[in-house]
Amino acid sequence: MIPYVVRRLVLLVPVMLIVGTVTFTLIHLTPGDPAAVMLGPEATPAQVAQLRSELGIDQPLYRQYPRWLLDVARLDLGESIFLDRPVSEAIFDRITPTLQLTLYSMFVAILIGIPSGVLAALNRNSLLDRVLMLVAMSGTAIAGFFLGMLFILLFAVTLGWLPSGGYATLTGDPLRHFQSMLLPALALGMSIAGLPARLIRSTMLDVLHEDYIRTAVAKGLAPNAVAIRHALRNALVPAITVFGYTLGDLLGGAVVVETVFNLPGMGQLVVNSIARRDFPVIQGVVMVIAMCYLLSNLLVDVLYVALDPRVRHVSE
Amino acid sequence: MIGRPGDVQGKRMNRRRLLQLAGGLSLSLPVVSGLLAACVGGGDDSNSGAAQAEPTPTPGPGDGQRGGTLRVALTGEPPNLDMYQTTDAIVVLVASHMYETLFTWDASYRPVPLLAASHEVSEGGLLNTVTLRQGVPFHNGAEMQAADVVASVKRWGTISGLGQDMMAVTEEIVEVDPYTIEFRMKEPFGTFAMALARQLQGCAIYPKTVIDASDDTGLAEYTGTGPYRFVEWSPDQRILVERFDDYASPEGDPDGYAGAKAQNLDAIEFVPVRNEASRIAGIQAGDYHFVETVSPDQSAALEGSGAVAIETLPADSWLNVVLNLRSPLLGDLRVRRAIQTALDHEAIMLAGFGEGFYELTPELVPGAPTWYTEAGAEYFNQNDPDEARRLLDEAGYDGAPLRIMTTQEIQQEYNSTLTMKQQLEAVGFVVELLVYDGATLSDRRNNETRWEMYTAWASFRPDPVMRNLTASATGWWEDDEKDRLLADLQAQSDYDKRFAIWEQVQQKFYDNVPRLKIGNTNRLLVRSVNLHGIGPTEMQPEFSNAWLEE
Repeated sequence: MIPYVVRRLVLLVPVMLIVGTVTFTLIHLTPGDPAAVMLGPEATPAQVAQLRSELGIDQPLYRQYPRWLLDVARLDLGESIFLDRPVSEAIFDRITPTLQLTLYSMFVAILIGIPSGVLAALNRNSLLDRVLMLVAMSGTAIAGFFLGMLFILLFAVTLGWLPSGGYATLTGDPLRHFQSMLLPALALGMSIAGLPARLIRSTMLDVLHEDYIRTAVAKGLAPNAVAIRHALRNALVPAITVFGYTLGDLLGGAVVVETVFNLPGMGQLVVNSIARRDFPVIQGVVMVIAMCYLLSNLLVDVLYVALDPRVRHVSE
Repeated sequence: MIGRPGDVQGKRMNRRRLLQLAGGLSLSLPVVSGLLAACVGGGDDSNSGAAQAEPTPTPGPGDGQRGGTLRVALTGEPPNLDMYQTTDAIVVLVASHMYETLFTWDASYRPVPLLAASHEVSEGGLLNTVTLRQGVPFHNGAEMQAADVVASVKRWGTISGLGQDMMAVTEEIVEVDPYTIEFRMKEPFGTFAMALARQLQGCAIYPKTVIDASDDTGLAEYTGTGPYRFVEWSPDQRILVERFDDYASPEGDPDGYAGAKAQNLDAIEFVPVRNEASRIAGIQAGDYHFVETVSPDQSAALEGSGAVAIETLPADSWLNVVLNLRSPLLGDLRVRRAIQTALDHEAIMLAGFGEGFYELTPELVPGAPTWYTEAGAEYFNQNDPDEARRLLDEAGYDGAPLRIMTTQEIQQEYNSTLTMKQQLEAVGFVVELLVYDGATLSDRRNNETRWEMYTAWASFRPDPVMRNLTASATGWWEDDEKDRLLADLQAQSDYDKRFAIWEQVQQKFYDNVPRLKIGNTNRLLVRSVNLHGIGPTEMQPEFSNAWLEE
């Protein structure tokens, strides 16, 4: 197991190099100039050229790329053009709200996805099955940001129960923190809950036809004990993979949901940085998100091997 | 200082004259002029259906309740908090609470002293002597003195376009004593007080110690003399300013941006909310008290909300189409004239802004009635496709693409551009629409080979000299006669002479077609019903006299 993990970690280096190079190329080939954005709508071309020179962004790409590569090798993501601070600091400030949103959304997805899948499987082809699947899939079908806007209109504007946006830290103001995170977590969580719900339903149906389930029922175990202890436990193994890969969707979804709810996370940072053409920040955030995605995939693979003895035996 | 308009007797009393009269009266009788301008704002030749809302009255210093934190939703993040750096109006909105200028604007948009106590012009306009108010502290406790002003003006003169213009005609700036500064000019500079008043890239006065520690791209610290002092800037989260208890308020009743500042609010929190729907939802939910910008098509959605008050403000800016005079196609005046002749401005403004949010008048400084002129109006809104086709034939147009840049980030501009495209195609132009995001458009417009036209916004200016019509602006309008007129406009101080010069500039604008003025636009002011006393908004609102109702 340990050599496998080490091999996978070493492979991260070329993958990150490719991600970084593609990102660098794409964002520098995209038209747009941070100096023009910073100087405002009525700046003259001469003023823009002067600021480009002062900021050092008028250098050709063949000079900028090796410098950027060297910096990244030293784990230095550079300086933000717009924020006038190191990119790593800007990302560090924003990573907490994004991780919290991801965690809470995952919790919402699990809370909705697993019970829906189990109940739907136990009541296969019933009205309950159809309603649960309809609700779960509706969340997936509706875009997270749209769901977010609907929640804002209902819970913030109409009912006035929750704030329309913003953020409070967990330690500074726990109540306000959960109030401000509830709607975005619901919007994002519901948008991904459909997939695990469908998967749990399908794997539960497969497992319920296994011999050991028939044996458990024949032994006289209570139906709930059979469903939870025997069937669900085995049905959860493939679901873990899905939840792991869903992390990528959550990070992607957070980009839009954070903008709608004005959450100061990495998603909002990258959206704002794209609008400002703050190249170092865009590069840095993409690299960090790519790294999170790769590490979560690695974790899922390791967990899968650890949880399922059959896989472990095959890999050995 | 600008003088008074001349005698209007014997002249036809049309809308133009009435507006001029309103403007003239405004120089001596602000209240009367406000009423008069408001009355004539929706005159017969206006196509606007918008109700000309009464401007939010400027409150007296003791009118409001004291306390509370005002939450303002901004459309984005200011690029910095140094007034000199950017033409982005969001910086004025935030930073004008922290910094002050030597002069500001009264309700009639006449420059009046703020940090200055007085201003004298002598030696035939070659010497401007500014005496400072005494006992005005910076937020760091030090008293503002002449050395701070000299250092600020010199730094402003190297960074901002307006400052560079002023420095070009300034021989030297001399610190006579701690409260007196002499500006020795190479030539008369009649608009001296305007140049040093509140505006985009305005000359805020910073402590010399801060300037010494700063460079040309940013300030070492945010210290000024304003009624609110800087507390915190968390990028993309908030900028917090709080009441400066030692603030030396100007004397006199509030008058436009001038007069006493009551500092009713304990603090002001500026929150960047890029998404417009989120800003709207936020103010409806009571999370914000004021939103920076709301597009007119949101008014219907907001009208039903009991938590929100909306006002349609008098038109003070215009939809501007910049033409690239260095493009081979538009270098030909006949082609530019064909575009000017072809357009139906009514249809374009209706598509972009909707009924009630525009007006069609030819003046280039709407919102400043003193400068209303119909010079060149014969070329405004011609809507004559046959004549446009004839001009195109005469120019020998060969079907070269007319590239128009626009952005969907500002939906009004985009919708207007689509209508304009159809009208130009109808007279024979081959139009290529280039739709970019805002950052790309800001970049591409600086490259003369990339485009022929783009849509933009011409925001409020209290004086025509503040509108950049020089060849330094994109579009590159080069005309020696026009440049001479603009220089005269800057040098002169007599209103009548300046108005006559401005009429000639506006006539040249319509004769040479460097840009197209399509129509004036009305803005929406959206605030919480609990927020009062905002004051004028044309040069960004200031909340120094605002107050929150409990």
